[in-house]
Amino acid sequence: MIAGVGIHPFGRFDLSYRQLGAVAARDALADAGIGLADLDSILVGNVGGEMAKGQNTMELIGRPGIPIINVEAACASSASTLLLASQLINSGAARAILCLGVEKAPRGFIAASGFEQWQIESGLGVNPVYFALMAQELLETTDAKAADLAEVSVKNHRHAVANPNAMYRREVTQEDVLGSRMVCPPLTLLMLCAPNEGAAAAVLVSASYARELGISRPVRLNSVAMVSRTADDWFVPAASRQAGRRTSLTARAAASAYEQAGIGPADIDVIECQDTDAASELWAYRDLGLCEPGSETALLRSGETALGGRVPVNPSGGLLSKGEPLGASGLGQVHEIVQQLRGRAGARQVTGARTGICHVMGAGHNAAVLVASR
Amino acid sequence: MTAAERDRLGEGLLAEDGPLVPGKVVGLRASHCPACARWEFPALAYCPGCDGRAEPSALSAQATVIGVTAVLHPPPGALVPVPYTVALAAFPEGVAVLGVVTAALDDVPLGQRVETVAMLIGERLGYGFQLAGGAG
Repeated sequence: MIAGVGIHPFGRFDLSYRQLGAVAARDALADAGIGLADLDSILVGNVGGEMAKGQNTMELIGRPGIPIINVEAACASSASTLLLASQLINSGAARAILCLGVEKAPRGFIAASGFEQWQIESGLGVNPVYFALMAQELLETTDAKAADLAEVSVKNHRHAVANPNAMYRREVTQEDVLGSRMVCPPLTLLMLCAPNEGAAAAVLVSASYARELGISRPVRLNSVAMVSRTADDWFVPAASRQAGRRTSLTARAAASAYEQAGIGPADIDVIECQDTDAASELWAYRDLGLCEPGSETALLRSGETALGGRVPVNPSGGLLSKGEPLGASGLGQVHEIVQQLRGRAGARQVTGARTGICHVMGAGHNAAVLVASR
Repeated sequence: MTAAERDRLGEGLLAEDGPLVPGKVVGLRASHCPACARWEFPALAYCPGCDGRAEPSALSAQATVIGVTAVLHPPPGALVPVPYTVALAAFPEGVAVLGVVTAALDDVPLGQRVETVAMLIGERLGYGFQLAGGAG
């Protein structure tokens, strides 16, 4: 059960990562209506911080004396905390765990994504190269056009106008997106998310503890599935892949999450997915099972993945609008989905949302999908 | 320091151990699994396909471009001046490798044949791709 969620808006701030994290953690505890003393442990997802980051962050809130464990899995760090917390709670080893994701990432290209020094010096340690090659594959093998990539960004920026936690809250046009500076063809600046700063948190509790604490209307966390690389996957920072075949980490994570939750893609009302770049969202349509291979742009053009459509994707504005604080982005998605399932998402509310999923992809070949419902 | 004495970038990327000059056509050092015939670059001791013991071997010099983009803004730590072209080149052995191509993006269509060359990166020798004759 998700008893409560919290967030520090994503953007750039004159605050330390500890301060950002403390805001989200306090916010989540207040939302759950419980205190530090009610927790069994705290799991903290972060990529770029210092030693003992969770401990240092919690120092600003209190000294509960319970285990504080730091986990890192690139952009799937938040998801790692949720996987561990749900397993600990489901096993009976814990009743209540605070999951916190926090990041203060510098501007521009992400400098350290696990590339070897020779890759970096050779000019190959560049995350957008990977996204550009995946975008090119989509353009070459489906009817997707550059205008479709732009439309993903247009849609998500339009959604973000109503999200006070997003960094960019201004609508953009296809012309703006296509005319923004080229980063790695075919991807322009406005087709790529910006690494930034922020924090998000969730309090997970067992069903019995939720009743004991008198938590009203908890959101059910039906499943959390996480996968790492198998033989034929390819993502940052791998220098090579098999030429004739490529499997999908996301598809495997989704299949596992759906099976554990006993749902299928048709049951999903709202999705937050890893739109690291515009093409990644279209690949996610396929890999999450929203459409058949090759029908990604048809789904986009139908408007079904925009607010007001059948299954809105990234009603928060996605990473394209929120920015991506690596260790916090996954819990940021959970914050949005919980608001949607509670019916408290304001002007970006997905009407009648009962089942939502979150999806992240991280460097080092990590993917996670979780299912939540009310 | 003469070009022939330059240090290598990385460890064991190039299959030739002797003196090398930038621009020389070379093979990349990869690993080959005798059990399932899978190739990996850089070389791995164990095959991720079947978990068998893999053996070091050299890839062919020529490959075919199956993906290509360019880097237009300087990434942190890169010693290659922007703009530069990056290709995903598929070798006949079945593995596709990322590398910088010594040609403008517009001159590297999908299907373009390239060959692996020793490339000066900063002060050291790494690898890159140059255009080879004829589209494949």
